[in-house]
Amino acid sequence: MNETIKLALILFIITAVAASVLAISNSVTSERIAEADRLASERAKMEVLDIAEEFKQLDENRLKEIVGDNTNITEINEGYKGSDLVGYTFNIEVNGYGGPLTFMTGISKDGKITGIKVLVHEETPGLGANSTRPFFTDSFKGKPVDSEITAVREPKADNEVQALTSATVTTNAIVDGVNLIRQIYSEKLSNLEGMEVER
Amino acid sequence: MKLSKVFFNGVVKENPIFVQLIGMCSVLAVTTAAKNGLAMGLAVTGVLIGSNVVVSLIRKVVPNKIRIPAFIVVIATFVTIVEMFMKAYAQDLYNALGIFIPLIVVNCIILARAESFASKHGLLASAVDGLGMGVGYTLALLILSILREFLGSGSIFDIQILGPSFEPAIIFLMPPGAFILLGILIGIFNSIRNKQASKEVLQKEEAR
Amino acid sequence: MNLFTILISTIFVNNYVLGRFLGVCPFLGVSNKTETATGMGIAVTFVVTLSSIITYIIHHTILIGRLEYLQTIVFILVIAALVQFVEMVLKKISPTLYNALGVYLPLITTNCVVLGVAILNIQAEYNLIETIVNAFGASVGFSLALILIAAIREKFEIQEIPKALEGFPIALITAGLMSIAFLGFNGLV
Repeated sequence: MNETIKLALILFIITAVAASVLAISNSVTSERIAEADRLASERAKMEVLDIAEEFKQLDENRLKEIVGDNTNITEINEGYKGSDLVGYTFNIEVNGYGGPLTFMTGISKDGKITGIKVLVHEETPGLGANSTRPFFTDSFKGKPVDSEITAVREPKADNEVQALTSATVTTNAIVDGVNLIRQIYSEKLSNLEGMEVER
Repeated sequence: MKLSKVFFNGVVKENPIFVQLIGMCSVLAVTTAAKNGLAMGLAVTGVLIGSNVVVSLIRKVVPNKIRIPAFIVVIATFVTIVEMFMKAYAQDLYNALGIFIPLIVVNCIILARAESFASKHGLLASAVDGLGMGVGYTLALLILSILREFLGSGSIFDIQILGPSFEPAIIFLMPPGAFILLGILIGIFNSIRNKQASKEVLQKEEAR
Repeated sequence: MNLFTILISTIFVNNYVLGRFLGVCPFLGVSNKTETATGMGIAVTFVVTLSSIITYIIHHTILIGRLEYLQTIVFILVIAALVQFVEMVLKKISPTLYNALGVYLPLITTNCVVLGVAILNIQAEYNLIETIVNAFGASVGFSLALILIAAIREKFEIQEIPKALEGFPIALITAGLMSIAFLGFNGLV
């Protein structure tokens, strides 16, 4: 038999075995991966809007209608406690220092920010990456949505949150994102009590 | 060959990072926290043992001409399996290590061990060699990542060691710190080895 | 993202070697002379750009959807085959070019820039044009870092360096200092 064909055949067999091994381990893990993904996103929503028990994602048309030109808001969820709508979660992508940064913000129906959580980021460890830490994210909790939020070194007033030391770009990117969400919530979602009940 | 010798050969005498100086990319990239360093070390150790065992098993069947592509297929298979299981059971770690998990495929250590050891030795010796090299690699990652986390955030394994008055040297978490710290560590390792080598020479001369 | 931004960002701001630690092995291994560094740089640029195009097409025609878990194994095989192929073609078409670049080609398969760029292109969801720009920028950034450090290391030969730091350790420390310089580009985009 031709030498080249023989070599190709052996290599083909090895590759085929490898591919089938991978197909098997994929079928073992894929469900578990999907489940882990779902749990992670569920946990994130729970974290930023802890008063809700169940979440319902708004469909694409409704999302477009609400965000308009602000297409960097990629997902909105309604949070329910029992059958009551108690608040919303927003996913937004902003430009951080090291690249795109995605975070989630929760706003309760009574007009308070209930939490933020950074989901994906490429920020510098020790500087911008501190945006994932509680001392930063917790400082957003309970801020009213009707006043512009600013970041300062030592927050005192009701609309001031903790600024990250030496990471102004990251801080501003997140604060601006939260302010945009705040604005959109106030304009489009805060007065929809009547409509939502119908659902 | 004694198995213990094979094992310690990988851990100390031919430590992949400090002596052979291969597989640097992941070492520098993932060592910002001790936890990540340990996880990467374990992932590489798993792939090393797996690929060494399989390569040793198929070493007599695979013709010499196609051995490199065959080894690469074996390695890539193990890397993908590790990737899948990490995604399923340790998602936070998977996210922290990111692209450096699939890049284990091109980590020179693994192909080097397959080519220079596993393709010439039996099953057990190859497994032990994989374990030894993996432990040596993990050890190097741990040393570097503990130092970087300690200097850069004042903690070890996320446990705060130094109080709030400590101003963290963030440079050690950034790329420059990684390069410089690893350079200094290898320098220290070299000088210890040099001293030992000259001692041995001295002893031999005295013995005469 | 704007094409120009991608280019500047991959060459300077997020330099693959000095900022992302991809391709550190050849960066330290073949940076003793500027001449070899240049050869390696050109070979890498060629292979990275070509392999990015091929892996992009394969991902979007065959793998997408059901077979994405085969990404790593397929990409590395494509790269290995491509490197062999380029080597063969060069040998036939241009022996002079082969003599200049041939020795670097086998080393490229295990250069993590090649696989790294291919995977990152898919992760960042770039289209074909962006993929090409990103691949080209990444490899130019790699070559730039490689040639720069080679030029510095050539000077080491006439300097007195502590014995323990000779070779790799001093090269790593140099890379660290270069990386600090490259931090200056941060925030540019």
